[in-house]
Amino acid sequence: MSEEAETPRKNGPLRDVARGIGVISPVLMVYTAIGMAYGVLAIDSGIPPWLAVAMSALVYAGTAQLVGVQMIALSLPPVSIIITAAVINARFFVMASGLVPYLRQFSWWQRTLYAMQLTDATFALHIARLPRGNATKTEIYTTNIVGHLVWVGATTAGVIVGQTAENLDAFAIDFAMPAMFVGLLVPLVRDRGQVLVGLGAAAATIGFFAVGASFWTILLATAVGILIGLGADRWAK
Amino acid sequence: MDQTTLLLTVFGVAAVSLAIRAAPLLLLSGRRLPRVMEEMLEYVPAAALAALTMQLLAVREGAVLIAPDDVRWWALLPTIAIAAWRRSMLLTVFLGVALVAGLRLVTG
Repeated sequence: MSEEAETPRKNGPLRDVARGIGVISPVLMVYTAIGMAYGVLAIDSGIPPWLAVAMSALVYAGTAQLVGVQMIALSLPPVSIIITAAVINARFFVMASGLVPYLRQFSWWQRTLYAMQLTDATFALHIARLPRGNATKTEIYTTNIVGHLVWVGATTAGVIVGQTAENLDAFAIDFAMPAMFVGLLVPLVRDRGQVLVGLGAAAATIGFFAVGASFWTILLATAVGILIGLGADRWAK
Repeated sequence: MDQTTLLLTVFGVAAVSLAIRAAPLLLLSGRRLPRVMEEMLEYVPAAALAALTMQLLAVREGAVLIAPDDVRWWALLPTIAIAAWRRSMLLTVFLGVALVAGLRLVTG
């Protein structure tokens, strides 16, 4: 920090673009791997290739996309798919709320573009960097746009692999998505409350499906998990 | 699903995904959410991911099916252990899939 204050900061849009790419670069490898996995899984679940790529371009939220293609493949009602996507993406509401103080100088359309490219990874990068106040808009948007482009590119590559590979079931690809959810879920579980939330929601899923709640199961089971979490908080106090 | 329904679904998912992310930036100027809402949002990822995992494993053609000959159930606990051990999603997917592929080879 003090070093940057003493030496005059090199300016110019090219420097900012280079900085922006530097900031996102550790994330790009992860995006490439997950984006490709998503593309392969999307084709495996039987949705059209253009749709898999369109979702990466327009939705740009990995978990919601993965769940979305599964639900589309099952021909579930569009309204239930859209509501499920909203529930899965609810965490971004909290993240975006945390970024509000640092985006006051941005116009409404700049905030909208920023919001469209807010992911778990870019949130982590920006919440660490923006409070220091030395990131320019060019740098911030370079980070976001490069991440988005790599995500779409990796999806396209995955779609191509998914179409050319013959029998993906032999590679146990049907376990890739459960494993991915486990890999996302387990690191989130930091206390006993979260363990109860996960177990409760898992048990509720079986229960709701068994009694015929079909496509509302995920929403209902998520609600049960949240209530268990709130209950655990009150109990612990 | 026909093409129009597909397109509408994707646009719908895109619209809610954007709205959720943009709403705080456009509407809240630094105000905080009510405490109970923040608490609830904290539990959304764990609850939703657990439910989604269970749905993928337990639901086959619209009915609940927990069969011991489905090796994915045997792989679930080791996969959770791998995730807890390395906290890496990529490694979890890689080893989890390898484990299921191996189990299928062994059990035929």
